[in-house]
Amino acid sequence: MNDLDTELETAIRGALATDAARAPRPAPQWDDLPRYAGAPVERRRSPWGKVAVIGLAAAAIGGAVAIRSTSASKVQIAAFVPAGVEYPLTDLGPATQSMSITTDGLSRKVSVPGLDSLTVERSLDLGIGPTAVLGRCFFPGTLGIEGSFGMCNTEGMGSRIPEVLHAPGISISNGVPDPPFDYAIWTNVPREAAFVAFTSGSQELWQRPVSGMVVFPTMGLATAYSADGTELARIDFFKSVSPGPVADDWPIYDISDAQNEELRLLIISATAACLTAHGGMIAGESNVAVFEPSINQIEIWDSCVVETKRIVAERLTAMNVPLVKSP
Amino acid sequence: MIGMEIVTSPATLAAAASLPVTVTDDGDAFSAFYNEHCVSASRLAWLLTHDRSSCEDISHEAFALVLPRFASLDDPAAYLRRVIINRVAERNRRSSRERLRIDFITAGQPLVEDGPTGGLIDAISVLPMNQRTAVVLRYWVDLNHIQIADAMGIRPGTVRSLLSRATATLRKDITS
Repeated sequence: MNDLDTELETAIRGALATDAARAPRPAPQWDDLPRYAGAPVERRRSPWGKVAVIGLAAAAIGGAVAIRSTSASKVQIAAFVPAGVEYPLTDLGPATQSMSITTDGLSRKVSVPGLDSLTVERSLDLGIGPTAVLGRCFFPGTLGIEGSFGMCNTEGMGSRIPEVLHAPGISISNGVPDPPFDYAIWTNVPREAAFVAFTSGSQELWQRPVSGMVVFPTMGLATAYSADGTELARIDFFKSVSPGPVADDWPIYDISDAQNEELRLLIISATAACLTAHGGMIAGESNVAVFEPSINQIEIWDSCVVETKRIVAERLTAMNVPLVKSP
Repeated sequence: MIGMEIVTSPATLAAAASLPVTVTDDGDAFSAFYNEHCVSASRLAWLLTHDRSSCEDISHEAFALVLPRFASLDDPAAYLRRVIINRVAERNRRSSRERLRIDFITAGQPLVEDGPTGGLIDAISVLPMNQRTAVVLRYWVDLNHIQIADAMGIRPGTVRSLLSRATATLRKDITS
């Protein structure tokens, strides 16, 4: 860290403290906190009222799931093309860089209007815990240049709060790379889908999937169709399911950033060693293992993930860092 | 406001919102928790939204969501932060949808503040939401990368990336 960074960080802290002091004054104290079974609430901003609103909203959603098969609604249409304007997705081949470590079969580089390159990958990286976790990552442009940016969603990590970021097969980039683009990525479109129609407000777009993936410029309702117009699946980016343990269920260690970085690099090196030992070739510092088509790289990947998780867990134990929160 | 005064039973609420019902025995503890954290919650929501009306709503909604889980939470303050962050993100996504229709950027309206930190406040307020959240949690709440990752539900590596990009943008802004 140089002097400019320190100066900048000090300035940021000062600016935020100044800004925070300008926040509206909070509501009066709850010294007569009402109970569920108590008298009707008269306070305008009652927390119970809020709970009721939230509860009724949840009831209205009523068990809705974000992804559902809709085989019952088959419609046969000759030369089917969805309504709206095509938002083309161009396939640029396997990734040439990874945010952590991946393979050519688990990654794809694409482009959409307004964004020349967007890499989407399934990779292994350090997650909350800290443990080696699988995730879906994406990044626009090229990593390693100033301002480059990427984002990952951990697989199997859920949330008690409706939170679309944790829904399976969905990635949302909020303001990435810059507003007003909030790319909505659906990564498990049915393989037999020929089109995915997308609506957001009055806007209607459609796209041809690439490797089971579509990318739209904001959130909305996406519907996958076969070539003859049969609806195959539907996903609403505004709704979500929240499988898996939530953040509360992960152990939290008092680990330094340096130790954290060591574990992150260990994940990359251990997985890379495993993948290359099984026939993968990694060019330079790409961290993308390329396999011959005849090799079952998914099987190799899965076994390497297990091995790396074991190595990382052993190293974490050896570090003897204190556990500050049990799941 | 319509719908704000609805009173219902805990069972109904719990069924509707899939929440535990154990909420009535911790009123005093929760009240103390509210009193201790209401200012910081409101300020966190303000730093993330710069919207006076919605920051008050968000902080209240967050407390309302903490309430039914309060007794079972190891760290209610951390959970409160996470709820606020999620609420802000949810609001921001709704804004994004509106933005697409009317081509208007609503997230982080510049404040045009005068004074020594005014430019930096403006620069922070127009950072993309995830970057702004990471900056606020790092430099205002004073969390480390792991804690920020926990609060935002993302990986520590993503936190590093968010902070790196944010500080690069802010550095460019203040040096220019």
